[in-house]
Amino acid sequence: MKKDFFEIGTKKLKSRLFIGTGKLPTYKLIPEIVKKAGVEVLTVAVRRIDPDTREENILNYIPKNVTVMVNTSGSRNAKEAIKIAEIGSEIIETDWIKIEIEVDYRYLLPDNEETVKATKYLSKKGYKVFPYITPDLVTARKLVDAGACAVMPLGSFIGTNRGITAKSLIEPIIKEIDIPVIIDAGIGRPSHAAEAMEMGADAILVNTAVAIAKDPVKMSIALSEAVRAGRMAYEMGILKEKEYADPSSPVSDFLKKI
Amino acid sequence: MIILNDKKVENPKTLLKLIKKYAIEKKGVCILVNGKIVEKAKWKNYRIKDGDRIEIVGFVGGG
Repeated sequence: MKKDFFEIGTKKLKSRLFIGTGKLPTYKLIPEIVKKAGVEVLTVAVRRIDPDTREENILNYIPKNVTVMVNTSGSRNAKEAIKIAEIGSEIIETDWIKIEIEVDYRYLLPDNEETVKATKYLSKKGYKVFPYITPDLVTARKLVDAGACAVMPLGSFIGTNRGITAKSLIEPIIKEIDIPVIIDAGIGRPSHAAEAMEMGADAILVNTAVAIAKDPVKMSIALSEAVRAGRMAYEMGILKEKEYADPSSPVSDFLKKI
Repeated sequence: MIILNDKKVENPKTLLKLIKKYAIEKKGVCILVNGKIVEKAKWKNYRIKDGDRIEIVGFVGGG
């Protein structure tokens, strides 16, 4: 078996399961999710703080050893995404940025072109950039040139729990580019997580499936076990499908002889 | 008067006083004055001018 960690954004990680913290019923669940599912990367978003209400500060619930990835969701172009990245690194010392630029609100499809622009600018400034994209090999190649640390193609539309419906478009990205591929969005079940790993994805990012589960901690454990199982299977080499039956028990003709 | 997150409020004079007035945790927020980030180290002496647009932003749960 290969080494049990992988390198990404100059860090060595053991867990291939990244968790998004949106829609959680309470931030109080975060430390337990991190501990029980062995999560090392969490995403957060940037929003206005209402000075008149006492909102909870999510940072008080994120354990120190966790890498915080700032999501630029809410940005509509490269300029706004860059602003959010700068705000994020002013709030805490993190240079991990997930570029999420959307102008389509029905399907929440990212704007790949603006994403390449933002990635180029922020990578040059020294940020570790993780662009969320509609799966497209041509864009992925541009992102490699732009200095991205990884690419994050969507498995299916955000929050739909449909699994990796974009599989045939993600496979060429995994096959052809040399930076890590993190399948983001659409992963609703452990079987989807295992499938992502069996495909050879380097990691997955899950939010909704955990956040809206009856028990988010249990769901995060289920997903992390599926990720481990899928990854192990991938490292063993996924077997080819065959057209005809191939007996598992030894074939013997002794019955004919008695 | 200044505009704080779209609301007209009295000018608290400096950014540090603004944070104290609303009892906002210094950790975990970023302040923008007229769209520009003002680093935490500069809050104490940063004079807010009447009519300035101030945004206080921070982290929330997000994917």
